[in-house]
Amino acid sequence: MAFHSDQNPDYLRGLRRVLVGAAALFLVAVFLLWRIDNARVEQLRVSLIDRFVPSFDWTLKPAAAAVRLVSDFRSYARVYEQNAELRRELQRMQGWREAALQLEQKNAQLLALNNVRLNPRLTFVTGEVMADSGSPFRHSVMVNVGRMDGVADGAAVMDGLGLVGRIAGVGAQSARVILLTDSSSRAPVMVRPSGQRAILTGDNRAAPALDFLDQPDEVRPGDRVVTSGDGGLLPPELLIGQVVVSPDGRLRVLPAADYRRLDFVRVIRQQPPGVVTGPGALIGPLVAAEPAGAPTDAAPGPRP
Amino acid sequence: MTPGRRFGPALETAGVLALGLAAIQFALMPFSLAAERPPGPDLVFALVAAWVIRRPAEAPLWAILALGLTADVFLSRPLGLGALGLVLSAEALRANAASLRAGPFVAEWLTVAGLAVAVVLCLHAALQLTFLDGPGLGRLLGHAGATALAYPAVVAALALALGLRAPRRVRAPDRLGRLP
Repeated sequence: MAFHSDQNPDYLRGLRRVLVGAAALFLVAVFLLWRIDNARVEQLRVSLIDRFVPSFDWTLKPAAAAVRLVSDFRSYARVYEQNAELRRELQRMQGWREAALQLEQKNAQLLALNNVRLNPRLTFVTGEVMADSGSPFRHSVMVNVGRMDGVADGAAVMDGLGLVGRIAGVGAQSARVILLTDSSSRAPVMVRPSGQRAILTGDNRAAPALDFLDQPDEVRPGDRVVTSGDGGLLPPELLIGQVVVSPDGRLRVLPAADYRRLDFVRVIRQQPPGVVTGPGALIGPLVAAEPAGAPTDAAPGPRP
Repeated sequence: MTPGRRFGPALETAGVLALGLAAIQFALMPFSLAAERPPGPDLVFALVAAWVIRRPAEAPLWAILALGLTADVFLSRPLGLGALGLVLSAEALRANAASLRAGPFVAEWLTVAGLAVAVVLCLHAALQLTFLDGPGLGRLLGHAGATALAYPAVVAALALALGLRAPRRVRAPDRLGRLP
């Protein structure tokens, strides 16, 4: 019974060939549609994923947790060395803690003196990593917060320490995060002590490359790299990582975020900063081209 | 009792679809997010290949097409291309299913591995032709290699769990109950 398909008469075989050809044509058409009208088809993909993947959340988590448990268990083999290592580290950290406490007190005093408002536009929402991309084509993860939680396209995503990536594709209750290591990821950055601006280019390696540096010889391995805020998409001053030099001599950035253990991420909710488009009323008299009755005494702000 | 006759054909097709969805789920699990992790296997491909060789009639074209498109949507692959590779290689295997079943397993394994590599090469060529930047040929070949390595495990799992074995020609009667 199982192999009557091998013994089809000729006309059935011809029919099958037509069917396969039609299916192939249909798929090529789908691919061309995706290639040409990418944004809309990707939106469809996001809404499909948003509809179905969160309901299978309960199957995704435990298996991944089990695998991590096994890999954690393996590290028990060298528990003694780890213990000694941790003790040494703890000792060092005690010293740092003391220094940090002193600095915190000093900082609090200075802030109180200055009455500084730290950027109140930056709030965040924390989400859990639900799934990865599942194929070698994209370095991305799905998180379980979406439009309902105020997540917007392009928002920065961090783990506890450093930038992880940015949102690309938002559904109602899930969103996709393109990691910094993805080959389509670009981020404007600044190298810290020298203040040079550059573009962080993902290329499927663990450490993304630093491109378009003005003077590469001023940058040393170990320099801190933060977002520069150019372009207005990512907020400035988010930590990304440290400069390293790869064996082929290229400057790369080792991310501070731990991609191997990405369980929870915070999605930064940023309100777009106001853009100053016209001259302020205080600076000087407006030019005569302004129509009569225009609000000359309005505060400088976005004008239509 | 031959293993294939425990369930009706419709139920077996539903089984393929369910197992394919499970394979997609497995691929989505966030085991490791490091950029230089070894690429995972394409379990949907391995599953469909194993099933088509053993039960060509119970893995119909529409089911493979649906599985391929679903995998494309959920695994963030170029839409349509992955399904195209899956459908064409499944049809190529279906055309040679009888001889693959008759030969040794190693021959079948090599055929499937060769097909996986060929699919990946065509995919890379298609990406280059349409000016898309893919993951690079090295990673894609690693993906195909992982699929080839996973194939015997998939076959063994199907045989042990579901009794999916290649039916022996001599024992199996045809639809009218005649022995060939």
